[in-house]
Amino acid sequence: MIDLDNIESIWSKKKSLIEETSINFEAAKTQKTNESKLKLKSYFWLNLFSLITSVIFSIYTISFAVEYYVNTPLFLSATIISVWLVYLMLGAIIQIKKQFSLDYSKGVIEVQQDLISLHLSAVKLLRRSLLIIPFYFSFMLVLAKSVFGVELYAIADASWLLFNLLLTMFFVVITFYLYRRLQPKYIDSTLVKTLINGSGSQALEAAKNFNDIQNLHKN
Amino acid sequence: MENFKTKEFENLIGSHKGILISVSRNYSYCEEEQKDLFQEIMLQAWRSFATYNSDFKFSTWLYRVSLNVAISYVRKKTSEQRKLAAFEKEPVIATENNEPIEQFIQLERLLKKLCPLDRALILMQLDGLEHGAIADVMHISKSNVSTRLVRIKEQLVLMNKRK
Repeated sequence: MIDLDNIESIWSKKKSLIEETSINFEAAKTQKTNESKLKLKSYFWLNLFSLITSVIFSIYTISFAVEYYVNTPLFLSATIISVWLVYLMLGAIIQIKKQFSLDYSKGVIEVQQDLISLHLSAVKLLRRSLLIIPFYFSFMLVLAKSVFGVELYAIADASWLLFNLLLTMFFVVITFYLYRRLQPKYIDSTLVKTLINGSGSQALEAAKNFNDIQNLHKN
Repeated sequence: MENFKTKEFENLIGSHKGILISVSRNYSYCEEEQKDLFQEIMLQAWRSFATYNSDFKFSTWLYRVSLNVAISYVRKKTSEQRKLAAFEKEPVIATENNEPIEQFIQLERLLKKLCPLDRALILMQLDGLEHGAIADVMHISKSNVSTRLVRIKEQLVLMNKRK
């Protein structure tokens, strides 16, 4: 057992270890030219992919909304999808900006929050993507018109439309639940653990670290 | 100009090597990892040196870079299934004349059981930093530092008893 009352005096023994250690600047200089092991490239590619895809599709849906602005169901459907795509786009831009402005000489909590946010890129993307689930019918309308030239709501019978309305309400509840649960603070729940773990093992660690930061702020 | 900057960097690092050694020892689980982390901190410190403002203390700046790199390094290593248990089986380091500093090594092991952020706080306090300076490095309030340090010490006492 350690005598913790004398913790400072125990720690002072470190001085002898430091004095014995010399810094090999030559090795450090070689390292300067090498790549860092703390790479974040995969997050950059994920966010860039999300940005490009959302830009391409939002251009299409916005032009679709403009083209059918007199047709209320089609206009509304395309607008809903466009808003969601712009939301995805903004999320990706924020993440990329965060990555490029990362400065390790800033305050520890500040930098770690940014790093955790980057590690959780996939989870954040999943969370944002979930929001469109209740609006699946908008997708069906736009898709049917774009691919088959059919106005689905005009040819569908009332019972089918009612069924989709009920399904939409069911998806609203499910999405609301998942959107709220898919947060690092619920990392101890099996569902969240499974979903976050699927986004990479570093995401799981990042979620735990996120909670450490929250605990630090609570004190 | 580049040579002057390199020389300045080397001088500053040389006079603050205690911070690098302290952080790299406390966020690594074997000698190989310690060297690796040390190099990684040096690399990031060199990259960030251009933004260093000499109006502020170099030690505060270096603590920020070192701890940020170390905490990120631990996150990466943990995700690679690095186990603390493996580290506990062997002594981390011995002095040059091969006499392990028993109590010091035991204390280091105890600190490694803390979460990376708590470890950073206690590490800086043991290195003699004032609460204000710790708050500045961490980017949290001074009162937050004081409260947290009390809790960490309580946690250390409990862990020490359980050993």
